[in-house]
Amino acid sequence: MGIEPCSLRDSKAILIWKKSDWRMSHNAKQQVSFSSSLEENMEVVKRELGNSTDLVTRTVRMEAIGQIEVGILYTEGLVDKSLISNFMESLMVHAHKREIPSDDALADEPLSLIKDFMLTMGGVELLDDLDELFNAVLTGDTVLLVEGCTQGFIVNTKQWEDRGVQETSVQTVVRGSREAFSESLRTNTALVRRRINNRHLWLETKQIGKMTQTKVSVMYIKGVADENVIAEVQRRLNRIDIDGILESGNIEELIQDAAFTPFPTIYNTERPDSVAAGLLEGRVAILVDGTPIVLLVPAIFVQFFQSPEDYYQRSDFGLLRMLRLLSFFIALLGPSIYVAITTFHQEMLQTNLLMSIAAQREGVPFPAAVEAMLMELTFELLREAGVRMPRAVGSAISIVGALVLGEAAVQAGLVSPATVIVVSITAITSFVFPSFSMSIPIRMLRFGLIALAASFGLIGVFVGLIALCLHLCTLRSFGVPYMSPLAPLNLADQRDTLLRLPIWMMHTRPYFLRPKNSIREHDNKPNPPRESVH
Amino acid sequence: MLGNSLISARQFFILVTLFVIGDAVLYVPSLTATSARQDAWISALIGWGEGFLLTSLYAALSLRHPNRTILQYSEDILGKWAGKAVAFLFLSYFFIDASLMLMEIGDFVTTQIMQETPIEIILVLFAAIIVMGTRCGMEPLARVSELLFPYFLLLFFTLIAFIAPQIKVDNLKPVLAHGMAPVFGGNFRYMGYLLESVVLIFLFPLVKQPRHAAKAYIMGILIANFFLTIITTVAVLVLGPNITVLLAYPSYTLAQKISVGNFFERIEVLMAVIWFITLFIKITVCYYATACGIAQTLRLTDYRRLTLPLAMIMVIVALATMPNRPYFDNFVSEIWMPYSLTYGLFLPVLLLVVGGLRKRLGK
Repeated sequence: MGIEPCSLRDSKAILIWKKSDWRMSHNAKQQVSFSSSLEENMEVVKRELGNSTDLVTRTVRMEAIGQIEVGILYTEGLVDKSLISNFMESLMVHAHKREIPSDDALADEPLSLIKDFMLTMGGVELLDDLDELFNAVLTGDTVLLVEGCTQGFIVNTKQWEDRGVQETSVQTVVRGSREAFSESLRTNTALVRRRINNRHLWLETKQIGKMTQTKVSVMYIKGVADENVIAEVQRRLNRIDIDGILESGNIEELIQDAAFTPFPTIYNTERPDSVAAGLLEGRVAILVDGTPIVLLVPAIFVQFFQSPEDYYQRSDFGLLRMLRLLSFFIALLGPSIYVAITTFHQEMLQTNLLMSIAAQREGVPFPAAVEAMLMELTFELLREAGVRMPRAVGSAISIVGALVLGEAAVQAGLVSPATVIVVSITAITSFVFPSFSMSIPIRMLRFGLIALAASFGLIGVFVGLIALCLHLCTLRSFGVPYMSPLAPLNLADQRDTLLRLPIWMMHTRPYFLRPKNSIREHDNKPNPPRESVH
Repeated sequence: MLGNSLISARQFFILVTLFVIGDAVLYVPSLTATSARQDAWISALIGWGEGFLLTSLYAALSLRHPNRTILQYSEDILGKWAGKAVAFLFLSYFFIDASLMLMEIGDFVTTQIMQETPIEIILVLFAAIIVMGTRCGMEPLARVSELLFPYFLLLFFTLIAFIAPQIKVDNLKPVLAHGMAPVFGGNFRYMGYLLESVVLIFLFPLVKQPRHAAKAYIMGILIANFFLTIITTVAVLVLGPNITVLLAYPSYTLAQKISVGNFFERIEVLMAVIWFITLFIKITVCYYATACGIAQTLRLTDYRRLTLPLAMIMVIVALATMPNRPYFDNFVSEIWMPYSLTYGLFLPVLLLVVGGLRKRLGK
């Protein structure tokens, strides 16, 4: 794009301007050009922004280039103050000095003069329509308009307050990086780039949301990630037509595979190292401006039981995944098996245990199912209150929870101690998962299974589980079966599924992701000398 | 019609194994022991050879007609009307098999586990997941079987390991006291179950590589025979031939007898999951073959619309075909084998022979 020559002698361009139309129709891009009168342009911008008080406008007369007036526009709070003051300084200095060659030919092109001699910033772009201007001003760039020209400049001055990189608060680890993503997209992409310094780490950004114009970036390693998955992610993002995106959860709901399932088919994380590991495996990351939660696709079921720490500790630590799987079953089935056994299959219990449970339940007025449902519901209420309430009243809730609901409910004969124990174990196990999004379906399905257990005993629980298996096996995430690599089974991928084998044994990327380049490493087996050194 | 859903040879192998174990794991010990007494295990051993021959026949038939189901190529071979008649005979067999097995679950649950629950409720409950499984299609169902197979193995070998201390080798003696005739009598009923594997011929065109599928078919029935032989032998070893014959569900009684450390007792309901898994797979495959086959023969666009009405009919047929337990026992031990022989042996051989002749004459 070259700079169009324009001069004071230009006839006044007619401002083609349909009021209030541009914001709503983001897709139908009609170019709205500038008038050549600076004053008129500034007025239009002010009027369209409703004279919003955070818009700063300033006019400077440039004596150096034939008394031309230059207008500067930016939004306070979105710009880097030191950059702005540098910028103004360089303009002011040049405005009064006659150092610039001012022969007539050059004086006709004030835009190139300004660009070549006065703008000291790195990122400068030419601007020629109003849409672009609003976009620039509202995202923190500074716009420079020149009297008599139908073009202007965008100067990159974005800088706003953010939280900075802080410690992880949700997915914590004992060993491993403590950095978490923050709300700024640029910081987040930088966090990933710092971990993968490779020219094949590609980043594509688009703006989604007609009103919010939220920046959404798709990140992947070219030559590793499956091209079909990348294309599918692009396709699904492109068909989003909505007024606003406020969190990556909005994107997740708009692009997920199955709308009606309790199970998450897109992985989310606040950890840059998780995203980097996913990219190296051949996954695609979706980063959304304004949220520290990054999406990772395709996602599979067992991924939600894997913590980044599994890979940082020595490989025997990977056995903990079995513990998490066990707690998945306890969290899902604990109360329903308790209800089924005490209601239908008492013979399964040892006589002493049966007597003790029967004695406990003697004074309890409710059937086991109602009892379990009540306690589960109470626990869910406590948990929800714990998340929503102000920090200051936290201790009050824990006192109520521990004393009143546990101890007092048992002493009052409303619930049996065995139920309290079952519900507590269920509660603990449902906190074990490294990913919070997997505990939501378990919490929901637990109630359905209690109902089935209360009606049909263990047969009901079995039927419920088969239905669950069927449902899980029909799910897909961006073309990848959700239960892979278990079903369809892939033996090579079992090295990093329920267990994690030592890193030097994991030669390949997961096959279910269909990576373009599946070799991760060649022989890395530690080979220490056989004799001791001393 | 069958959709583009494809299953891998490994998945087909697991489907065949679970299908053939199916309800046989519950009935085979007492059915074989009725005639063969303490030699029931020899009856089951003979089944290995029969299974091998039968599946070789099915695989040979399927390999001659790639990407066509048995209903389609019976029309190709026998002509339009005779072919359609054969197709409907097969469909009736698939459907009656599914209904009978549904009734077996209902009968088992209401007599052994939950005596006070009306059988209709149990039938509807299981019919619901069978319909759900069928509507999902064959690909997810194959994945489910893959997912459940490890649990089946775990429970089966737990059962065998926990019951092993009660084995009395004397129960097997004397071997072949009455010659081979009673052994073949036991095998006669055992073979009735092996013949049912003809239903799987319907899934054959869905497998990605036909060559591997043929191998998976044969391996699957051999592995299933392995499990059935083990459960028959262990039942006779632990319970003795006299009690095994008397029991309706010897495998379930085996699970009831488990007692480890005075704590693992009466875990038969957990063990019942073994045949709930295999029966679920078997009924769903039969039901899928029925629904899909009807849609194929009548040239319907989607078999899924048939699943719900067919399920209602299935529940009614299940209730109607089995008025009481002695009737059913008689049906299974005397009639089922000759009835299955028509579909499992006679019709496939007919199709193979006529198809071969036509090919030769055509040239």
